Amino acid sequence: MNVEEQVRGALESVALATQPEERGAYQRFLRRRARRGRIQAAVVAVLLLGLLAGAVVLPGQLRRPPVMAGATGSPTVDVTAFQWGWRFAYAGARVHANGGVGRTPELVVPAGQPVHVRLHSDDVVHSFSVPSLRFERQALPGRVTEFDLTVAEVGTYPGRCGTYCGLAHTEMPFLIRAMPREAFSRWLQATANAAVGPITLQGRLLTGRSWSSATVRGRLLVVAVTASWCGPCRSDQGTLNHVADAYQAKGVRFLAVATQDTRPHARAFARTSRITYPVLLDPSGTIAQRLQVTAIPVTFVLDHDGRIAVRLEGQSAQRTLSARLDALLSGKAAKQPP
Amino acid sequence: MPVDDHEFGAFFISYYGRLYALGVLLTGDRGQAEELAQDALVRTYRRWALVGQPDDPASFARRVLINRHRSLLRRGVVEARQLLRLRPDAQPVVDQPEDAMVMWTAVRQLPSRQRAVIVLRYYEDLSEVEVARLLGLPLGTVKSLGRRGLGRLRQRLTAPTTLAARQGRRP
Repeated sequence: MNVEEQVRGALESVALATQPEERGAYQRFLRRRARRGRIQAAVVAVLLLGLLAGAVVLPGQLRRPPVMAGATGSPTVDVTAFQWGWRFAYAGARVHANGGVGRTPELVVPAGQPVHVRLHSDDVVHSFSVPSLRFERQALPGRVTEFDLTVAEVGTYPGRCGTYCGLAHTEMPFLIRAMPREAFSRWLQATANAAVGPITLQGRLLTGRSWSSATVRGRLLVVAVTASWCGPCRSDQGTLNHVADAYQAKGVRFLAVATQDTRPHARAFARTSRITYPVLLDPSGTIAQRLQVTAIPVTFVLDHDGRIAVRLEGQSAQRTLSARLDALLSGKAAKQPP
Repeated sequence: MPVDDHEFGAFFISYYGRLYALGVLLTGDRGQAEELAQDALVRTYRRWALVGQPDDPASFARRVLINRHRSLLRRGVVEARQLLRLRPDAQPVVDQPEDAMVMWTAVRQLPSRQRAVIVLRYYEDLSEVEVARLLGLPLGTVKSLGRRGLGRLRQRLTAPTTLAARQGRRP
């Protein structure tokens, strides 16, 4: 007999002789299986709890914006994108810069210092995009995107909208002008002073008479910047007329400014829209520029001293006008956010 | 995927003994054999529950057992087993023919890899190719391990120090 056969035989007989006790083996198997299942469940539970804990704790840490603004002297700017332009408003300083089609607004910032930006959108998704700074953030309607922007070097940096937002998407340029810190402070101070100072509007009325807002100083003056060529202004005029009817009796004066308009067109517009208050002609658009108007309709309220107390942009804004007037009349002239 | 407990129970009953025996032959230890066989069947059950019954549950379970054995070898459990192997065998091997007893003693003293090849070749009746696949070794290595294992067994059987030889010299 050769070795292979002997090995085969030996292994076979050992195997036969070493049969396990069948009794209880299956029970042991079941216990082992259950234990293994419990261990696996425990491992999975630990993993899931870990993920859950991370999901609860970490986003809170991520979303917390760095505390800037005010305390450290960094300015906070509300940047609003709309179809189609930009509005920059310096918090607490009542300084605006407005852009629109055909006009490039400037965002003035101190060089080397972070500027806290709150990015808004009035309508659709836009992007605050500055290619030369390699910077872009989306402006989403109904949501404020906050970030700190630091422009290291003095200079000008062209920006634009980086997300297609409609027909005039390409007509939304803006400019970031970074100036030395001291120069920025001076600029902000000067611009703020200019903005809060009394404004006197003057020119020729539709009737041909000359008119100045100085004559109504001491009363609230509602200034509606409008034009015959502006469709939204037309449809808005009804609301405005209602407000005028109600508040002229309370001593509030109303003025329409027909900007970049011709006398015949403005006259027709005043007639068909039933404008009952004076219409100031602004053929060259200088009054609108003075008020930093870039898109119409815009409605202002000048307070008793001739300062801008309220600025309402866009069509639907007119509806809040009466509430603002009530507040101003009752003397609780809440400072209007820019 | 639910597993029919009757079906798996039947498989367990029919195959547990054979896996256990394979474990004994590979490790030379009843405790470890039980451990290996139980573990292999738990893993087989899991696979059964997750992706359905394997085409050939028996060879699936056997493969699992051999893999477990291999990874235990790799983890240096071999050392512990060497010590166990020197211990007098606790199992009562009552009705063993003497030749088989001698041969078994010799097999238990083979190095682990040689023994694995011998057991799979002559107890499980697998081809060398199959053994190479199961053990994750090159075919040439399996052939030479088998040859050396057999050579060593042949030597033991003819050497005068074997149990048979010693007993044969008794009056």
